[in-house]
Amino acid sequence: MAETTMSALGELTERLAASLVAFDPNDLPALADMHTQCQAISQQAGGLQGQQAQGVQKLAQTAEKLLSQIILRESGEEALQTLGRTVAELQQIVSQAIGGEAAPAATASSAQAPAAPAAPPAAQETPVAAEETQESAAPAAAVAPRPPPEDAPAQLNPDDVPLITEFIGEARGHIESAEAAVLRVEEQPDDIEAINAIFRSFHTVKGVAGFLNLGQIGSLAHSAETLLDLARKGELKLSPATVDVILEAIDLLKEMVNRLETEVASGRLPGPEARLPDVLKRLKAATAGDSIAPAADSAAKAAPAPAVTSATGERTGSAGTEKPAAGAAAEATVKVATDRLDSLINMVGELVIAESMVRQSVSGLLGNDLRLARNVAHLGKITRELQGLSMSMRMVPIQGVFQKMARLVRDLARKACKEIELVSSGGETELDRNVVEAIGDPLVHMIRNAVDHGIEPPEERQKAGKPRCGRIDLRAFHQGGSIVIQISDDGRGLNKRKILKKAVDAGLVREGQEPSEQEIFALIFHPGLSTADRVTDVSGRGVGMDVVKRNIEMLRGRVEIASAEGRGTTFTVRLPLTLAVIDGLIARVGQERYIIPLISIEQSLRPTVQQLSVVQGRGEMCMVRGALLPLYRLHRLFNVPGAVEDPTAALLVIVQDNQRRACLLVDQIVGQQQVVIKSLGERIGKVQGISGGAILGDGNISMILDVPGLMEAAAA
Amino acid sequence: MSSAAAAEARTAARGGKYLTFALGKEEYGLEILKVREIIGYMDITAVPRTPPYVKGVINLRGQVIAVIDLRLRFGMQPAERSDQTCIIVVEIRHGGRKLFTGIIVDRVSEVLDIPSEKIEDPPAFGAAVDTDFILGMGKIGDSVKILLDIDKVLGDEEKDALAQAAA
Repeated sequence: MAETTMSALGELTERLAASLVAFDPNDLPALADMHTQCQAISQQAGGLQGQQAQGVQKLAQTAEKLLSQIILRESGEEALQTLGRTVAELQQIVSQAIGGEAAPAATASSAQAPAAPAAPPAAQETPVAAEETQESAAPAAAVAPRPPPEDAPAQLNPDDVPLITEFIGEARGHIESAEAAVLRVEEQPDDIEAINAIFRSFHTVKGVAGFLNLGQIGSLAHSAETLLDLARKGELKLSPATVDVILEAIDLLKEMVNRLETEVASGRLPGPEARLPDVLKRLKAATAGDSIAPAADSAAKAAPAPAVTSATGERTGSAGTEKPAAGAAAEATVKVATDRLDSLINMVGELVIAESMVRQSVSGLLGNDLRLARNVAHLGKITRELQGLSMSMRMVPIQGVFQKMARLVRDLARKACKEIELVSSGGETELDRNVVEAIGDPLVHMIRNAVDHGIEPPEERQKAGKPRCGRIDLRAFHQGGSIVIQISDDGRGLNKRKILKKAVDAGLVREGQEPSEQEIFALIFHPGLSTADRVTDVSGRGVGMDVVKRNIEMLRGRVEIASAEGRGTTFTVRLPLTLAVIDGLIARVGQERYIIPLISIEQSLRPTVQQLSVVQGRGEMCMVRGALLPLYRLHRLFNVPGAVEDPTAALLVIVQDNQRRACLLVDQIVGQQQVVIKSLGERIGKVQGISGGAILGDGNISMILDVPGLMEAAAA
Repeated sequence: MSSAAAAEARTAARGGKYLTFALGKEEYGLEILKVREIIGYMDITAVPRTPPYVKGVINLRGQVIAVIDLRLRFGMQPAERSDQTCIIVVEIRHGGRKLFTGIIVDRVSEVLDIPSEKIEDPPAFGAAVDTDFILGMGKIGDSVKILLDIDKVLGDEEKDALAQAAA
């Protein structure tokens, strides 16, 4: 073969492959250029001798024909794919010829075979074309995983960052649903639907990871997927040990995704994950070891253990119908950045305020102008609908948190050698996204306490005549404008005597004092009692309960306890529907107006002289329905001039927080309104007794009272 | 030599447009780039349990911003409100975050272009105000304008506490 012709041929082929990478069927000049290149190749090859040259010429002619078809728009996608394959093959032959390797007769007839370049230099320079060919040539092979790239940390392509960020969010969703499904499988090992769900999650993660060149995540997801594939085909029984391995894989995947996030944020890709090989090994061992029917025995494959087959058979029907159902559930959605959503909700809040301002300023004219009245009413209706809609956009079901709890209970119970069943209901209850995010930690704490201290060991339970298996109920539901989350266990309950003794020892309660049951329970939220480790043994509860309470209060919620010794404990957490809006009572004090959240208000009343008294050392008190409550004057707490000083001429608002009650003295109640909460801004920051500001209908700002904080400030 | 050169560089950076305003008899200047807008005096909602110079918060087109009485911040006697009393909304950068804060002043005067050679370092002796917040003294004709470093007026220590609270 003539050297010069060969190298010219090599150059031409490379150029052709390069133009194919940037292929655009509408770019006619480029197409014409490629056409010319093909002609040149076929001409050059025609001047040469030998089988290879013939093959090249034939391929170039094929490409030429295909190109003219594309130019004349006589063909569609297939022509493009064939063209890709042809060019890749052309390239391969030419580069082999240049490399001096006498390639075995590769002719156009083998165009269907996947081009697997044995790393010839030219082929490496056009990886896209080669990959395209590989995939289109062997669609079946595309399902099989491509060999994962090297573990060495690859360079992070800045263009990939948005894709990876999206992947991280997606992967988390998949991991979460996989986790939930695994727990279902653990209960019902033949739940094919659940196995399918896990499989799908891993499969998707693997696919996207492969696309983004995230080799480690890809290979982990792939190994897990292989295991589950066998399981869903009924060739592998998911033993508890196998489920453990899958959970391990999920955990590792979670961590790797977290690591990916931090590394990508600092512009890198994560390096090799130390635990990956170990988990991979175990996944593979589980895949191979527990396999009922090894692939070699094809007969067994067709008819595995009959019991399994029938189970699978039964499930196939449901699995078939499951697909459209899943499609219906996944309504068309759009992902929106949360800060955009938040600012939309803020803007709607402004609109609501602006609307009420307009209404107030034209209210005098409405009687005379019916049209104006109608239009204003219409505007109001639209505004409120818009408000409701925008609020609902931030609502997410609490299911995700509940799933985490299911996993937590499982792990904790195993560690503590207890048998515990978690029954959750109301997972579809929707909460503000911010609340859902913030409620996780307190819930974990309460569940952990229930498992560690609430539920007794199986033997103890049996002795007490209870079922061996303990039960924790996790419920969520709506009640009167708030969301209630309840955690109840059927364990040993709170020991009132011991809590009280501890409280007396700690000086929280004076000897001889007889606090009510509720007051005793509330003591476990006291930092002095609950942080100490020893209390754990005494009360059976309490590590960090003060933190739980604080977190819930930060969400403007409340927590209540009900407990019966020997029968169990129930924690009831009441949360506002959303963090952005509250229902409040507007109270006037002097010239100032304050908003008292309705959730903390019990009642309001005008006291009589008989109800009022001053108790030595405890300040002013007011007797309300047999209970002596402290009376706090808002104008004194907040230094407001010109307020009504005589309580009998003013109003008392009875507020409560966790069984603690107090009366707040205000001049007058102006009204009740739903307000949008605004932070006071970073300039002012946190003020004790104030949870934020709200813009009222007249455009003025009014402070929103933080009742728990206020009571603390007043009592201090 | 080197300290003089450094001082010169600092002075050069100080030249530019300043919004001048009055507090009592004194005239002050504020870098115009820090000023977002000037609004007339409006009702301010008091925030309880804050230092006296924090007058409260106002609603600036739906945004709640804090308002500082500059007189009280500088330890001056409070003044009666007049038609000329106004609130200058300034933008303060801290750790990449923008904070809007309103400052109450007796009267806004004008926007002045003060070249760097007309700006001197604050005198080292005691003045009516703490020299820490002073960027320099601008000499305009016979008068002297006290050019404020508004970021420092809010106090570093205080701002750190704010950033912590926000984090």
